[in-house]
Amino acid sequence: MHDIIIIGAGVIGCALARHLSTFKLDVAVLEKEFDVAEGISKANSGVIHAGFNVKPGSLKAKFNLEGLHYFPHLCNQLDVPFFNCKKLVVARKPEEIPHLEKLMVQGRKNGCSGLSLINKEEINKIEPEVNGVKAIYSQITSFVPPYEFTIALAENSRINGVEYHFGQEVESVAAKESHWQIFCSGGNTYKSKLLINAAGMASDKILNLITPSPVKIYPVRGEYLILDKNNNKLLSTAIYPVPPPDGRGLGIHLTPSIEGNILLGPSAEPISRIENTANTAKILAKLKLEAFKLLPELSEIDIIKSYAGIRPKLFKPGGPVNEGDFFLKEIPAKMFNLIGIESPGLTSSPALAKYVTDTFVAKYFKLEKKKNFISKRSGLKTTRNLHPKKLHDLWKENNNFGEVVCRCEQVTRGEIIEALNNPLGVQTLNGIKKRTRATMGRCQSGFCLPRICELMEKEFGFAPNKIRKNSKNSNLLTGFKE
Amino acid sequence: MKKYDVIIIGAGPAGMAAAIQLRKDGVEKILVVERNPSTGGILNQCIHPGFGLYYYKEYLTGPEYATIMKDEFSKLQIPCLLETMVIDLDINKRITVSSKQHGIRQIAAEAIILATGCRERTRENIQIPGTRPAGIFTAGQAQNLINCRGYKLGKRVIIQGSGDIGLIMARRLTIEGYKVVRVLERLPWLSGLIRNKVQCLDDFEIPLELDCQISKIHGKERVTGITFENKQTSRKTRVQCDMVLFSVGLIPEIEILKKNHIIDDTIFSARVDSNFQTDLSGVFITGNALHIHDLADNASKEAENTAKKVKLYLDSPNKFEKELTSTLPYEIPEQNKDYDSNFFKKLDESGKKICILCPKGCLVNKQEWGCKRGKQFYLDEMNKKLRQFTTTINIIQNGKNIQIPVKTKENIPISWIRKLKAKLSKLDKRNKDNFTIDFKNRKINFITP
Repeated sequence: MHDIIIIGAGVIGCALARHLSTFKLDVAVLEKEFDVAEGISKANSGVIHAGFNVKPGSLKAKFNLEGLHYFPHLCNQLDVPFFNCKKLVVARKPEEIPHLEKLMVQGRKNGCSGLSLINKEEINKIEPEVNGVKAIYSQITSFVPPYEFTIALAENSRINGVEYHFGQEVESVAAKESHWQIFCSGGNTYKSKLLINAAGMASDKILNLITPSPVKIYPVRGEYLILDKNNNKLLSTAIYPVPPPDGRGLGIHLTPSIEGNILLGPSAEPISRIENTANTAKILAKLKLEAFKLLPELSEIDIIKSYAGIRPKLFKPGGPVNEGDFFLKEIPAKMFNLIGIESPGLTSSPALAKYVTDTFVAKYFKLEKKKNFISKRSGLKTTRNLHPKKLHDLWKENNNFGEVVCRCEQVTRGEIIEALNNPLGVQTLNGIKKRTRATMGRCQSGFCLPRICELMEKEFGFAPNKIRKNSKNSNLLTGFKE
Repeated sequence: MKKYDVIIIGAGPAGMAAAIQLRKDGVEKILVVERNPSTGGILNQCIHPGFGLYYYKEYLTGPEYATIMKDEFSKLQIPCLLETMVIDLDINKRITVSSKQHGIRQIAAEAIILATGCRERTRENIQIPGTRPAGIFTAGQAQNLINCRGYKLGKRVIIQGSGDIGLIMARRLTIEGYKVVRVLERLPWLSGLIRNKVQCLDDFEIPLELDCQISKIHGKERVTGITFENKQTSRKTRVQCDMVLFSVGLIPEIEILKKNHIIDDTIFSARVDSNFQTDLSGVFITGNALHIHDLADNASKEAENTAKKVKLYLDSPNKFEKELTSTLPYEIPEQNKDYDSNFFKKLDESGKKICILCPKGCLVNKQEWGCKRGKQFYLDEMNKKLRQFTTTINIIQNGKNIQIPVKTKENIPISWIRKLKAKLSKLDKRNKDNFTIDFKNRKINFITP
């Protein structure tokens, strides 16, 4: 019997797990996929928001403003890159200026710092390529790689005793007198005294298993393009348009990543199925047009990847935007639900973890700090930015760091082996990708995939037909007889 | 730091040809750097025949072409660092290399030749909509997984792109027991060589659809199908498959130059002068790293010419600079637009055959033929379609299971291929020697490279 079970290993579930692992509690996380950060937390812009886009007095505003301050310290502890990229919200036409002014007022009400309204000349001093008549310049807006952050939270919580169970889709939940009994698709049953629902896109469904959910998720898809690294010198600040008034998203923006790629997106399309992460011809063409407009020197081969993520909106398409706040409630007793945690969910995650612990967990358990809590985590070694001398020293320790497997991102055999030995026990191709960047570059695995498969087969004893992309039925080499 | 006269990056058909030429011209201190465990580059995974007709005046498979070069390498004692990746090239012509065996080292040279080949254009570069499940490969990637590592990728395949690699893979997959449902081509004409359409698609009755491109990929975890659109008719067709191969073009791989901004980010291929020299004096590019060649032979030939220029550079760098012109040292062949639907329709009506003995692809019948061999080809083709059969076999050597390419010595009827393949898979072989198997009361001779 666990003290607490968290359903969902996205950034919210993992932030909670990590925070709870500082206390003397028995915590387990159930995840339907084979890795953490496989849903909403995988496919977003990774922006740590300053907090001027959210309505004053809302839960979004409260947790955004509180959450963002945890990041520099947390990223330092967890060895996750944190990039203060700053942000420009650009009005391209004079008609848009009043919107910017409204955002400024909203920002001030929310208590944002580091905001200023700047003119055309000042914009061009910051980003010469960007055209605009006026802009909000936000100096504290930052970027973290969202899945790396989630992995770091999960790994650190794992080291501190949290159990992770992957491939466990919750099918039903029974309320016993003193505990919850949770039945999963594989036939496994788990028991816990408290239940936390952080199931992202499926969080309303999970609550429905127990009691009718007062809120419903309306999925809104966002498609992205990723641009090759060579273009990074063209942009160093996140560039946003004035947000469209429909409340579906912040508009198609450009986010420079730490590695030098630029993310372009996301669109905002209401869809009917929560798992529909397909890219569409219409949006891809629109994004491409947008990319060429902003960076005219771009060529087609600079677009190296497209993907889509889904926002868990809590209001109907076209419905009143105000209803779209986070849903944070204990219903029924001993079950806490976090539903509709869309943007600024990543920014809010550390604050939400603290809030749920203080208001919900503390009601049922005496929170006692672990004496032997390990607060520091070391990320995987990376070789691509190492000085040749340092790299040579690393090779002396372990010669696998001399063999480059992924040429585009310069990932060595040593890094891939370390990734396959991760504390969570994740052994999928996407698991390797998210941890090392192997297959993430311009050739999109053309070169390194055969090498990685061979490594998994020879060094880790994988039968070829058991090599998976990510989920249970995503086997890569299916021609083999079972 | 060790210093060489010339460092050649890449030991494929271009890099090796350049090294051999330089050594023949008397250049002493040459070093070739190769990231794979053996020389040959992409030739090693191209187990089909058709290489060497121009360069060696022989009809060779890729691995055989590579073996000839390798033998010449050892004869000329050209040093080659294998399993070594160049991770940096600076403006002082120093390279940083990384390998499991020797760690990280810097090496300098008077001249550097990039013969780094190319990479494949991906689904992402042409923005094919739909999901992103397992089962999507580029053609060359699949070729490597199958021919070099013996993996089986799926069962029912759609191939997008009628370039040579796509066509070659259609045949290869069919021989390996996959069902190739269709080959789709975005353009109104065939992209690859006409002989490859004949011997890779027609021989195995694989349909080619021109003017068609995948408009959506289906399947959440593994590919379950695709929808393709005919650009002329706008008709959309959904097809079931568990695998999609993209053969949609090649891109010169010169990222190592971009890293230090030696060349302009904005140009797609590297800029060179009439001497194959980049903006940086003493740094040259050749082979597919410079522009995409239709045949390996041509990449080797170009590399030879590059090597001659490099020799001149080494002899007198100053004079060399003066001879510089901005004319490109190569011509990009115009795209062959002949083989469109009209052509195929007329061909059917005429009863003529396409001769596949060389890349020219002459139309032949009893009265008309391109050359004498063409006439013989026509007569054979009307009687029994004979082809050279190439595949891979597993052998056990020193207790290890390894996969090697093989080819039949003589041409065999196409109809034998499947059964012969089945027989080969049951073979218990423990060495790399040539061998013979009994088939239909005949002896079939197999050659290993």
